[in-house]
Amino acid sequence: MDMKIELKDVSKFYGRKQALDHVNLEIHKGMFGLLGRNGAGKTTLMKIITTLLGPSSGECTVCGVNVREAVKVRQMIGYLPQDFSMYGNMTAYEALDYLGLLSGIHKQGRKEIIPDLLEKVNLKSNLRTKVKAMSGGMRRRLGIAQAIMHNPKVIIVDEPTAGLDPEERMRFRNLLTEIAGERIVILSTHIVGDIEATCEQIAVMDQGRIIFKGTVSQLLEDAIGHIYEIKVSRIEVEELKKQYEVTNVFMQSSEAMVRFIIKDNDGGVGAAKMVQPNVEDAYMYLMHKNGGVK
Amino acid sequence: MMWITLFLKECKEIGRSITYYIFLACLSVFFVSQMGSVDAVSEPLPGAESYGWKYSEEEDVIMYSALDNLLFELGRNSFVTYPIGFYKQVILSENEQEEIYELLEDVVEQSKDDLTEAVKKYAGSMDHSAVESINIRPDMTYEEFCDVFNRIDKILGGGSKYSDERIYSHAIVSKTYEEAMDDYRSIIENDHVSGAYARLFADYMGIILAILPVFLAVTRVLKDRRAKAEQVIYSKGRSSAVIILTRYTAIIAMTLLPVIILSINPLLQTIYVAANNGITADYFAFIKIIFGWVLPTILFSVSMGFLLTELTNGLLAILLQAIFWIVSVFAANTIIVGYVGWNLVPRFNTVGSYEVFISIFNDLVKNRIFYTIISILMLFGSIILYDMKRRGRMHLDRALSKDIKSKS
Repeated sequence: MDMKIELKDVSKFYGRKQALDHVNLEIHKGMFGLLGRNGAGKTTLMKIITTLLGPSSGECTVCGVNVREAVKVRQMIGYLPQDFSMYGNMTAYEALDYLGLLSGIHKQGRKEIIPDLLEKVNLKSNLRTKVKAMSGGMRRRLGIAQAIMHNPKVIIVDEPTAGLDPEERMRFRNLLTEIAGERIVILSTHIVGDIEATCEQIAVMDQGRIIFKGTVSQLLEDAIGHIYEIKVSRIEVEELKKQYEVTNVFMQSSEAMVRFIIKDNDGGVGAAKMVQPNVEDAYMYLMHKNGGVK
Repeated sequence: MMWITLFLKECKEIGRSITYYIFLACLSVFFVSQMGSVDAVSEPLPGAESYGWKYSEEEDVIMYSALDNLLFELGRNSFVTYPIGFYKQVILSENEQEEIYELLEDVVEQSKDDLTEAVKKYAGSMDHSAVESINIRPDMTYEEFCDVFNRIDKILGGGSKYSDERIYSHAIVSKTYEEAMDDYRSIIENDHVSGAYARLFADYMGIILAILPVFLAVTRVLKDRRAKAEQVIYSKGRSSAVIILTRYTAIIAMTLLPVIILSINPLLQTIYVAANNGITADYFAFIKIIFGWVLPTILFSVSMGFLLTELTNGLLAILLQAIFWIVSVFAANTIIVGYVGWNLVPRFNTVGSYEVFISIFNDLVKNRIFYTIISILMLFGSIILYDMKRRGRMHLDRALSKDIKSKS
């Protein structure tokens, strides 16, 4: 079987509003990051792949099966939506048991898999904890457990770390890396750090279009020579922001270390030093290059 | 097998919901307050003071009873009507009262002035003898009488007991010993006691189950969205038909379960009463009537809840079913024994009257089949709507569109 997700010229309209604009993309085995600001079209793209939305035009296939064959595709996909939860009065075990049943897993299979899954997502001691009593991080981990329960070829996670504290975020990223294995894992996020920590292949979306696809290294390479750093007094920061796209400001008592983007046609940069871009800088540069960061 | 497991899980979820406990409380309170206990059925003895009452079928009795009631209400200028099923007191203007007197002039032997005077005297003194001399013209036929009284019903705004459909209800007369004996034999021989009470049980359960199950259905349909579990359930491999059918059948089963349990009490009582009369009750009388009579009402209420809630994602189903319920329950108005038609709530609020039951049986069967078919069609509609939503062909598009607008 062809282990890839392929989108050919996919567009999606909500009434007159275009959410996806002729998207062409191939996603292969491993962790794939889909980056873009809120409203860029990431969720729409995810929903098309998971069969929860139909494309207005174009073709989308998952491991060789067209998404129009929804039943077949759903069996291959594990999906963790952005705001996943389950019935509040169900325990972690019951929620997985119910969702496992909906995925077609037999009783014996569920009985064997669920404790292992809960252990994997570090919820073993919460077997009988009700969903309504779980923290946001615990629910996301429960969500990832249900997504991998039927051993799908493709796992799609939509904004999984939004709202989590740094420790939970780190734990979740590690979990995603662990489960990736021989699967296709698509991680949709607007948090650059998530991608940096987990994905090699990425795509960046803006206004329904794919504005970059490639590796993280390629994204970084594109930004080389465009990221500068300068130490200025605090009062000069605002002036600098007016002139350049500032990616980071690090306050140091009365001074500030400012990182900013220089485009090819920008003028001189004075005392600023060119620095090695990080992924966040590279992302900001890309967005800036493609019409400015909002 | 997995279908059964899913069905049982759905039943368990319903059993844990607060809506279900409220449903059980309402059902139980209604049953206890309305059904009462099974009276002892015993052979009537000759020479008793009373053998109960019945509606007379004699046209003269109906005409005189209706006229008598009309004169009483006319004298007080206060008329009881049920225009859309609800009680309404009608007070007529001078002109409208005049119109009625003029119409009655064609019905009675007395002149309009004599009639007016007699009615006023009756109203002032409450002495019935004041109107005892009022006679219906000997050449007046029952049809002509009904025609005049239909016009009086129209003046009253409709829904009065003077329309030809309800005029019989004025003529309440005492049963004779022979009639009481016939009733007794019918309850014993035809109904084996249990059948008579099963119909009364179906009447009460039909009323309450035409509305309560819609709450369970609406709550279940909205539950996924409220719990933020909608998207993840949509993405699972089970077909829409299996998901909806297991939820639907679970609600039906959890609705039927307390009804069956509640029926055990009157069933045991009828078994005891039947034994006292030397016969064996029909042990399956209640279960037959629950599945044949009450179930289609439940199916309709649940289907309505599923279809409209899948369609609107709101509480519209409850509102519409409530309207449908009020119209259905009050459509019967005063005919609460043997009112069927195409009404969702067939009425049979009496113990016995086997002959009436036999006379409406065919209509009842047609009625129940009709509601079962409509319910099944609505269920299929719900499955199609759910599947469309799963594929983003409904609501989801609009919701996301709003989401995008709000984000951009």
